[in-house]
Amino acid sequence: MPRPAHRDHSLYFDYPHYDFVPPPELGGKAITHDAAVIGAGPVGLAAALELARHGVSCVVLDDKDTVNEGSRAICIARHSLEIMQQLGLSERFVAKALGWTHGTSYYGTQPVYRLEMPHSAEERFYPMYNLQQQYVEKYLVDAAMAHRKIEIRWQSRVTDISLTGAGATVAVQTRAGGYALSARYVIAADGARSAVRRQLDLPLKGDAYEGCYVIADVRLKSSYPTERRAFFNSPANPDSTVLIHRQPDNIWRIDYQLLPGEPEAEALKEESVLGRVGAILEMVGERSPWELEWWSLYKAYTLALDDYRHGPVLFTGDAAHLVPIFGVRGLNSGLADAMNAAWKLAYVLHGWAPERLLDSYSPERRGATLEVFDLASKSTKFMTPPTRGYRLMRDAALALALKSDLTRPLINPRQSQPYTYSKSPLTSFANRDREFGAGPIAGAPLVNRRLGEGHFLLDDLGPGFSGIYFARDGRLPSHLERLAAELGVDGEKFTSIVVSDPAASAAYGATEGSFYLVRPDRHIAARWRHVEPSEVRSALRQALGASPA
Amino acid sequence: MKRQISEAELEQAFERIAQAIDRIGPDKEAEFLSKLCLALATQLPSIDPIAEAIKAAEDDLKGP
Repeated sequence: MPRPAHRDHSLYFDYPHYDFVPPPELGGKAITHDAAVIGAGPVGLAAALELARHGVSCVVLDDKDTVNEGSRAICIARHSLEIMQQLGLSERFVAKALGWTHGTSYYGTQPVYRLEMPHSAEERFYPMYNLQQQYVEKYLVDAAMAHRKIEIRWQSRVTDISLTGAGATVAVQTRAGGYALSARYVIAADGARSAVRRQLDLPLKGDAYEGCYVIADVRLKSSYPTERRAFFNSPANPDSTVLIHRQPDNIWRIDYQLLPGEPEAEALKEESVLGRVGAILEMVGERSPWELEWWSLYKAYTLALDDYRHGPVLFTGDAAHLVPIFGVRGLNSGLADAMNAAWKLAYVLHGWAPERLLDSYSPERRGATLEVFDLASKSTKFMTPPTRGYRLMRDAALALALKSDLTRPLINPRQSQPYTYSKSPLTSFANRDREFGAGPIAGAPLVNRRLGEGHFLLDDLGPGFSGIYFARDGRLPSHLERLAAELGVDGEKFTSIVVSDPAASAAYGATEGSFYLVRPDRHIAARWRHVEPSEVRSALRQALGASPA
Repeated sequence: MKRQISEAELEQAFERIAQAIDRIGPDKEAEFLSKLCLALATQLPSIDPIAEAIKAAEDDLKGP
């Protein structure tokens, strides 16, 4: 795929250079690493930082000497910011990224749908942030390289992987020669063209969709606010779809669908991109001078591995699944994979949980992928109708929406939402869950609540398991203090949070003495209207992979 | 007009009609859609929603 020589000509981003450092293995030293992460993209680095947060050392392998080129995945959902907060990086993200809450869909030039994402003063983070992926990666690399438990090996290409009784052996090629790296576990985060997946001969299965998009970045000074704009059948791209997003540094993302029958090679020529982008900018009334920064080609797929775990290898992000961009679930679901895989792996490596805990990774995260496929398939067929039937119905829904709201729900872009592990083997006490009339259900991620000036519920989570106890006097009874001391694992204490705020209690459907047991990845393992210490012990064991009592 | 059907069922209706249009092919589209409308009309309590739906569908026939 032709792409501009971007790296040396970026209008806004200085690509860092990461040196090759000869690893001890090249000097003949035999080491077995606890964990190897393949791929220093955002998903691999999040996994490495999460392993490190739980005290596990890892080595990260990547064949590049810098971050990925181009802005790529630019929409970061609130739940991903909550992950960044856990990794200690959210301040850097918030300082640079553009938060947003709204969007507008147009039919022709007329608005037909107003997207309003749930937001309130109870939230620390906006529902969505726009930030170029180079910055996402840079922030993660900076944190990982500063962490003594993480060793990133740049310019190190994985050429083979073989599974052994005790883990995996990874063949690594470098400019100083090749070596074999042994690891007890591997997190494969090496992207859509995963070498690990190919070497293990594991096929992605699923569907490809009609239509092809050019995604183009331009530098343009504009005062238009940060929101999602979608245009169907617009004068600038008749019979096709356009998406516009604002990014930091006066960069604007313009995605446009190729016209039916338009050859890809022709469409990717710089003069073609300039012409199409120019027409789109003119349509939206932008008159300032602009420059083309980067462009790429995109097609929609829903493809996934049958199982995200293959012995000692856990597949994450694009290495495990490819999802359409509409709904911004690629990077966001990849980060959730990384956290899910990494805390479980850390607990197994420390001996805090049986190896069986890892069996829950694929059902939880593949379940999330399948839900994403269902939603993304609907959005994709709306964005790019695959047949005459879908096309007629899509245009009918848009035309009716010009004057009434009858069909407007069909235009909803179904943006990324975190998945609920309610059917997971780690989630327990469904009977207790049903006793609640409100609040996030067992298996769901916590929802944030403002507890005071600049103080939110999620700020108080510990690195390991946490318990949220609701009491009007804000005090933890002594029998629960003893329980909390007992629930910690050797190297990671149990964090008790007491909520007294009436509004927060109501949002959680809680009364005096209610209790939520929370996993390291913010998902609720179980909850009780009235805390039952023996059941909490049992729920924790189950959340660590033990069979239900 | 007020939407009666749930969002989820409206989505299903969208999908099923789209797939039916693809099944019957372009030659029989008008015939199929006419029969569909008439069959749906028999499920409504009066002419009023039908008259309103005809008006809404007639608007913007050439797109925006």
